[in-house]
Amino acid sequence: MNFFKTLKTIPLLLSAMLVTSACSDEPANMECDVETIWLEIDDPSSVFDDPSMAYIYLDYMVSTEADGLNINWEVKPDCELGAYPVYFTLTPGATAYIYDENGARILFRSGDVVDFSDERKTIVEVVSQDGAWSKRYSLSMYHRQISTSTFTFDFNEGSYDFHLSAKGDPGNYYKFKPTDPQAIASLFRNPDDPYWKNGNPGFAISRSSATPDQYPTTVAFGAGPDGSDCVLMQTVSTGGIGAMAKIYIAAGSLFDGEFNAQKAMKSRSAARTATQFGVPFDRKPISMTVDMKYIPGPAYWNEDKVVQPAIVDEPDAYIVFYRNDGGLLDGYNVLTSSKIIGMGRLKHNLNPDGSDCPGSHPIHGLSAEWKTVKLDVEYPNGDPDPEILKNMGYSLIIGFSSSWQGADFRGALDSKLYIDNIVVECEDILGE
Amino acid sequence: MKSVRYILIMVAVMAAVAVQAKDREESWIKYGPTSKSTQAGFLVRAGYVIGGTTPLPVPAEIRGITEFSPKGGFNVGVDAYKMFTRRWGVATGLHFFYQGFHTVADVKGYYMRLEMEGDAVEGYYTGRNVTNTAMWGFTIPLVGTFAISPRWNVSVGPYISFYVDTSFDGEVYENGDGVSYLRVDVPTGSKKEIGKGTNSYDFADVDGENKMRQWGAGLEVTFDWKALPHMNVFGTVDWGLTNAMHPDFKAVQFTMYPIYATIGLAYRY
Repeated sequence: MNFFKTLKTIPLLLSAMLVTSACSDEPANMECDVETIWLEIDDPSSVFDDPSMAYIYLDYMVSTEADGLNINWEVKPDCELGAYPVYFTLTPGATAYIYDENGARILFRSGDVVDFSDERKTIVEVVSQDGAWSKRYSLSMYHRQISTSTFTFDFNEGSYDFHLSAKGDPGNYYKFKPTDPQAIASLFRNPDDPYWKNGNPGFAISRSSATPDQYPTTVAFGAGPDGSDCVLMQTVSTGGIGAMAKIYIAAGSLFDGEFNAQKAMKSRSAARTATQFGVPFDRKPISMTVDMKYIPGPAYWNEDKVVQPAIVDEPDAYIVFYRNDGGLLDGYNVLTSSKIIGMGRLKHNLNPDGSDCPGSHPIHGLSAEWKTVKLDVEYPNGDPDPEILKNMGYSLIIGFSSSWQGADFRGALDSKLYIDNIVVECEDILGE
Repeated sequence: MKSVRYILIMVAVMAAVAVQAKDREESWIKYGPTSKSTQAGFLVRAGYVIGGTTPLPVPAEIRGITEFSPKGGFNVGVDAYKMFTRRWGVATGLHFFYQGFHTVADVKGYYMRLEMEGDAVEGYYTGRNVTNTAMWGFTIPLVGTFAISPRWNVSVGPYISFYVDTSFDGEVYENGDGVSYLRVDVPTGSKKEIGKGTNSYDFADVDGENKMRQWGAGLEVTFDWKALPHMNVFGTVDWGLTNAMHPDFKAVQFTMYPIYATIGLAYRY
């Protein structure tokens, strides 16, 4: 008996055992997402303001909705809805079904025709490869509404809902929506998602223990200038889980557009792209008037949590109008993109090249007392092009933040921006 | 258990070899007890340790191990033995060890839970998981020993280990296909992408608390070959049967068994 032969068999046996077990069959997929979905219509410009709207990538949506979601397409106000083939891709191995009028489940294949008339909703159920998980989606189309030239947001009762968790339980943060029908018709047209966006869905992942009033964007009950409710945006710590992504603070924010929570906690660079600003809009924005008050936090941090004694935190408020043919603006370029044609912004110290200049003497003029601020939209290169405007080729952004450098993860914990009573004035240069 | 069966087969094979071999009395005189009378003594052992702390069987969620390297472990110790007959005896001892390894594994739908400063995120992770462990400690075995032949000894018995210092840290990030994400709570839950450098963990320091157990127990099997009258070459397997993690620690859903082999030399007094 050769000893060394025996000796060799020990690690061999060990690795054999590990390898045999490691080579067990790949488990079937548990996920059941619609990953992309699109319509094929002979003359898409007869239906959509922008034909590229036929395609929907569900990145943003899978990130925030656990129990399925509403997929919808906005169509021209005067468009007559019909039946169109729907194409989609699913998580590999997943299967989609729809229900017929008798409630029987039938297979739904990419390319099958769906009837969208009367803005009806079709329920699609996607079942995972392992059969254990499923998710429901609704498919529908809705007509774009036509707004008038002025709309408002009062943030009073009825303007906020609790976020619902995957199980349908009340979640732990508020979602804000307009109540003014003109505001809904102008920027919050999607009937399945009529909400303002902010970083709360990302914060929810990093700070599961936070109560609603500890979220970056929350309700201040009875704290408005007229004693009614208002919005409180505050700069808060993201806790230990946020720190792992080297994201230490979350500034309160409020804007119209999309928030991609999937990217929010990945890394600093990905987080800047999580905020997707703006909604297509066909009026010329003139001004935004808003009631605000601001209390800066005591210690301003740079992105690495180092206190900057010479800097006082500042809030931000802006109204931006931009050409939307290059996609949505994000945290990198929301105030600097060359696509911007008109802007009104809270006053700040700026460097000679126009970039932000944080310092010790802010000039925004806000304090712990309410103040009404009017931001006029300036168009340095002239009015919007009426033809582009008519085809929804511009998007409007209304945005706020409790720390103006919050997109770069700089700001002071406990900076608090209260806002209420937003009034946006526009001009109908199309003469409709 | 598969593993136990392998060990039994090995022991049986060795025994069969032993029975077939004609014991030569001069061998016993040279290497073993010189008569049927009892004998006692000491062994000083030193060896190189290789192994890992692993779930067994490796769960299907672990799709592949792309890297595995032991981190230079060693084991030094003293054993005392007492032979009751020429072939049968008992032994015990005290072994000081350092065991560690580095592994990179691709996982799919791997349940994990992370707690930091009172906040928790849990769900099903798909991507690449890098793990590094290191454990310093003492092992006390209590084994029955059987002389298969004048030059071959096998010892089998339970052991208990006490860990002086443990670490279990790692990181998750994009796999070869650039995929790294967590489905929060359930496989249909929201998707959270995880980038390189943003999600490292240390189970030996979770909010200042070590989630690794300070003791463990298992089965030890040692083969000794008497190379010289006073020198043995030996191979030992310490097969952990207790979880290396605190049972209430949910970050690792699987029971993690420390399984380490030592190959080394022993001096017999």
